[in-house]
Amino acid sequence: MECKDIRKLLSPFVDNELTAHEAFMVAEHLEGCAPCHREMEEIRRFDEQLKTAGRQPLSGIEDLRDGILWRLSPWFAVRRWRGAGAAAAALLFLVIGRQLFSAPSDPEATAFSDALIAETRLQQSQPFSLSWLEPQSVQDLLKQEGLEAVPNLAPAGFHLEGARVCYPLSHPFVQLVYRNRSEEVMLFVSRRWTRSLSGTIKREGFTIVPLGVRAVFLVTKDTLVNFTDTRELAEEEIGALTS
Amino acid sequence: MSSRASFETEALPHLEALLRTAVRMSGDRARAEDAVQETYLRAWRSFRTYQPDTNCRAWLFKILVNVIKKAAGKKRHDPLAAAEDVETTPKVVQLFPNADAGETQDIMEAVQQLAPEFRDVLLLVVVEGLSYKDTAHTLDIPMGTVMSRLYRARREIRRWLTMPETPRQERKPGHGM
Ligand SMILES: [Zn+2]
Repeated sequence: MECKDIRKLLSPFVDNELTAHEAFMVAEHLEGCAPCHREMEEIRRFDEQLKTAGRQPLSGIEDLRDGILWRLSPWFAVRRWRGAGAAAAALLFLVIGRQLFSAPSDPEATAFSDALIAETRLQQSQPFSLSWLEPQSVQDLLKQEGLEAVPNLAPAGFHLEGARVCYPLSHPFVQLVYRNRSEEVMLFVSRRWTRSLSGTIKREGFTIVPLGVRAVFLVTKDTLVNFTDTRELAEEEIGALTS
Repeated sequence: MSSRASFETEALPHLEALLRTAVRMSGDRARAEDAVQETYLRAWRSFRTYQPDTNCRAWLFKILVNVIKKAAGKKRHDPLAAAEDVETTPKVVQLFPNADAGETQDIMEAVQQLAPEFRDVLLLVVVEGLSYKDTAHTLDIPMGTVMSRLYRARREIRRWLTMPETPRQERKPGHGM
């Protein structure tokens, strides 16, 4: 091959994009042709310069990353926060409810559970339409709903994953979601909901337990090992927070 | 590993590369950030269909380029590509459409002066390390076009940088290979 043809192959040659056969031919030519070899070296030098110039670090990457994590799902943010050993006071955020409620005899409870199921379906079909709450908003909303702070279920092994607002039956509830390694517990808080649900409702592995305070419901899996502890703890916590 | 965790470990490390590419392609930091955010949202939505053995970086770049093109209201198809791909048909393409913007010895400034079709190929391959195949897929152009654009972009920028005193018309680029 002539130099003219080799020159065209130098670009893919330095990019490692030639077939073994072509690369061998080019290499062979370069061995015996100083001008082409110099040209190849020039391209390599140019590439190095371009790489260095093109990869100058950008500022503000962390902020963008945080923004993306927030928009993707709070779980990301939660994981990151833990990993970073983040400031203790901070609340962790939000959650997707996977709860299925029964159709119990209590009509209010039926309506409530139906509404939550509908909400859950909506969440699944539009996973990014959720508005996850910032920690400060959670504090503010809970205060508005009559809780001084976030109930602490840590002694029962549950940490708060997050909070969101949901609207079953056109009543806004603050939904707090707690997790341990494998289980979820949710508290629904609303001061507008004045009628308490009666009894424990069970179906498909989920349980809804009305707590004493008028509009706080504990939702948990039936199989939860420390269910009782959690419930008692939640009652105590909420009692303390609202008294 | 959960899909969220693997998304975080596989996709998020490419954030900076995506952002700098978006900045250069859109020419604006705020628009670039929007495009990158949108890219990650779309990627996450389709992450379940993403094959673990495919190139995550290339996949993200493909999404990004589509997002940027869509935002700019451009057609996804690159009209120049088909004509250029036939090597025997010399096609006049201005490599430096804004050459009057000023001479420079700065390599990135020179790159920014390049026609976008050439600039994008050069940046994806040289700076971001995508293969020709992934670059072709990302930009929706044939592989032969990637190869010829690279060849010409490298040649012209090097000329541009090494011959700043030469009158413009003597080194007017873009006449065939
Ligand atoms: Zn030669």
